[in-house]
Amino acid sequence: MFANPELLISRLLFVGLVIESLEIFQLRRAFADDGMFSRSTLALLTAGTRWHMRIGATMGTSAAVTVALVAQAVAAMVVIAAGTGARAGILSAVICLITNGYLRVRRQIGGSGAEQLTFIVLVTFGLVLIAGGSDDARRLGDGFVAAQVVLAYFVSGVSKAASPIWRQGEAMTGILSTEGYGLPGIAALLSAHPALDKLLCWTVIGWEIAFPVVLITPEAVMIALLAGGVIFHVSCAVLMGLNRFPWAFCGCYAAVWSTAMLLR
Amino acid sequence: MPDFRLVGIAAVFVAWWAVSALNQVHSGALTVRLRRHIPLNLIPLWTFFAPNPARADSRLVWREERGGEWGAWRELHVGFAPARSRWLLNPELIQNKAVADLVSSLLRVRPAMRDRTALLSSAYVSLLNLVVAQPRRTGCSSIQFAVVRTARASAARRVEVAFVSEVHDLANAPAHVR
Repeated sequence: MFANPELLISRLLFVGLVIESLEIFQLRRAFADDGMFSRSTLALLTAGTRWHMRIGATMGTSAAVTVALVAQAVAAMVVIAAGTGARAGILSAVICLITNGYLRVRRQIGGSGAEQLTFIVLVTFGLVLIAGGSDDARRLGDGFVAAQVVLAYFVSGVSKAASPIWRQGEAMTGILSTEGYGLPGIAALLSAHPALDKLLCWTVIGWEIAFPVVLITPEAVMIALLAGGVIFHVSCAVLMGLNRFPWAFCGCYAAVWSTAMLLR
Repeated sequence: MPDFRLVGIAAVFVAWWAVSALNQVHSGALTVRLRRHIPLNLIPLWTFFAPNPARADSRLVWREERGGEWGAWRELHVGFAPARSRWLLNPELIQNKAVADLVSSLLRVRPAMRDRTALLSSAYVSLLNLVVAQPRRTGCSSIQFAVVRTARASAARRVEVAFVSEVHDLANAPAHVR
């Protein structure tokens, strides 16, 4: 994604940052003194942690958060338009790194794996720039992002395979039965057809564990595995409301692709 | 002549990935210590919905004592995004996840319901701070919160009390009366 900044898929991650900005804009009152992410609540939450956590968590009112998220949205839109190869795109990506770091540390709780991967990618880009931003540095950055994505899927798959709930095919029904992540109609369907739940559970486990071979398989298999990832994340967004994952994870597929090509 | 900046960044990436991988297989003393020093959650734990997937919603409820009588339990409810739009925008997920994060953190430190260790945890104090910050009726003398887990099993709804706090005096708490 850094080595091929002209590819539109390299910019998907920044669409996720615009979406995050819109979501936090809707929640900006929660950062006020009586809100869920008030400085007093976060001061209590981070009381026993390191100094950088304590300072970050209590730095800035809801107005500061609003400024940061507007800056993030504007900067992310510039990257979407210009890419990370152009000077404006590079500067804007650095702004995203700063604002996203601030928003993460200021909120502390309620984060997701998609947000975590997004921030890891932004920090990686910062390191690529520190190393000179050359093609070699960008390829190294892509390699690291690809390695993190491969690790994420593989560990998640193994962790599911170790779980009796996933192995017995009860996980999807359980998750989709919740109000937070659920859809009653689909949960009822899976509840009525346990074999379908089991098939879905094992499909996810199998795909996640198999994902690391994406780096060394023939191109057709690689495309199939990546397409499976797109289907998986879009399904999770539609069925479970995990709306940030397609942008974060599929946005990193450009790094997986370019790293796989290098390894051939 | 090697480019030392490239060698440096490669070393950082290798070390970062190695610590990340180590954190997946063994979240022990070393990785806990590293995570404490490395800011912004840069050492990930990639176990989405595993090994124990979320099969219940965590709900934060509280009640107030007024004139010697307890009022009804009320929920700190931020709502859920509509299914038709949450694939695109889902701000409610952030707040619900924040409550779930605090609840799981609280339940991790509580070995038994009667153990008072939990009172000293940052999650307990933060949850208490959240409910104390809610608007309340005049004349309230104390407050208590609880964590309730709800799940749908077929047509029925299962409700389980996961945690009940101690009663806390509100005499010195700032008033957000309604």
